[in-house]
Amino acid sequence: MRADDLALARRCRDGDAAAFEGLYRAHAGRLFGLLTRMTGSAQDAEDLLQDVFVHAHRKLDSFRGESSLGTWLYRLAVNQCLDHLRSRQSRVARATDSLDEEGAAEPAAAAPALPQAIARIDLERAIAQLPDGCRAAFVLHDVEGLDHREVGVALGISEGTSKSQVHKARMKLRVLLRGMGAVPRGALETV
Amino acid sequence: MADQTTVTCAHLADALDDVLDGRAPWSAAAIDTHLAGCPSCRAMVVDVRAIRAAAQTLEPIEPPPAVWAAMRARVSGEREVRAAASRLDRLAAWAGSRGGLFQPAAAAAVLVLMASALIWVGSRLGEAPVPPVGSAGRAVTEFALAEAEYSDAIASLEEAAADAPRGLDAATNAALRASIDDIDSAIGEVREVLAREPGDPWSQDSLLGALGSKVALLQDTVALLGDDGGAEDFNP
Repeated sequence: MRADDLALARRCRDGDAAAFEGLYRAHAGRLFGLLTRMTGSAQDAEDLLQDVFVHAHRKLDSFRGESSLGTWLYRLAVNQCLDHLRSRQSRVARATDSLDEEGAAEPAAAAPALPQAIARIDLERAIAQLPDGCRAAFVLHDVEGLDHREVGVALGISEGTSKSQVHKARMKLRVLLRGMGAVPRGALETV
Repeated sequence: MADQTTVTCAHLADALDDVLDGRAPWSAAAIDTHLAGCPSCRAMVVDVRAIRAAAQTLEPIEPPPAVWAAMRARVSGEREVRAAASRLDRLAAWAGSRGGLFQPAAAAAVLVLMASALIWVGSRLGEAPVPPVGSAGRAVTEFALAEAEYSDAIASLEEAAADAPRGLDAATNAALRASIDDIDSAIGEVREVLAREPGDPWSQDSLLGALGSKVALLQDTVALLGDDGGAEDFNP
């Protein structure tokens, strides 16, 4: 696998357009999904995806095969996205602070439980409305499957902060999903 | 750490993933006891379980085709600019070794022109074959073949430029004309040296380098002529 990746990287570096298109086709979907969810904006994700691959093309010399090309691109995308979020908000933590201030984020005890199967479209829309800071942690943990230690490394935060961010995102999502009608009005808690 | 029989709301919130994944430090009975008496935690557990399950089903999102097209144009443009810079570096090195025959100002002007133009048209440019520059020990016959190949390429490109339906603006035309004149002047001098010493490897390399630079400049001139700018005729 690594030998294949090294060969592909070399072909891309040497100007093989077909190889570079192959690299793009293989990874664009996953990276675009990641970027769309982390930024909450398809337009921003389109710009970032371009930046990721242009940056990758420039930096292919530095690819040594220590990880797969997919992992290498994934890290580039996460870093590019975080730089974007930082410049958009100056500090990711500010978004978290705004969430902290929302004391009513957690639903009241008597609120109806969410349905067992949440529609993807509802969840995508709700994720897009999360504040940047906790959205990034939620996407990396609950969508991408990173553990809290990995999320912490990716975002430059502690493992405990990652847990806190993800929890806040989930609580906010509960509210957002109810607001979207993901739960029938007047339904009773069924648990 | 909580004891094995007492679970609080705070415990559940702190270790929700562990609870949902069956790794909680409390017994299942202790957790169930708390949930049975706490509607808030019960709803939270159900909701977070549903959110986690839904999140894991989210799939990759294919970007619009325009993203690939735009990105390819950017990468192609960068590659062309790097190639142009490399060609000019070779030309500058060669010109410097000839004692100032080629003026740095002209080289800088050409670089700016090529960079700005190639970023725009990069994705549309085809790679015309450029003969490689060999070592100083090249045989006379090998050198003659390479020189002939360059000369043929130059003739074809000059013909293509002359046949172009549109021209360039006066400033661009003058800058390119001056750069080509400089290269031609240097080529003439090297040819004079080679007339006296036909087998001199350094002069052979110098001539092939200059011819290669002229090919590159003419390629880019033809590309510029395919652009929308300018209205005057360009006569190489």
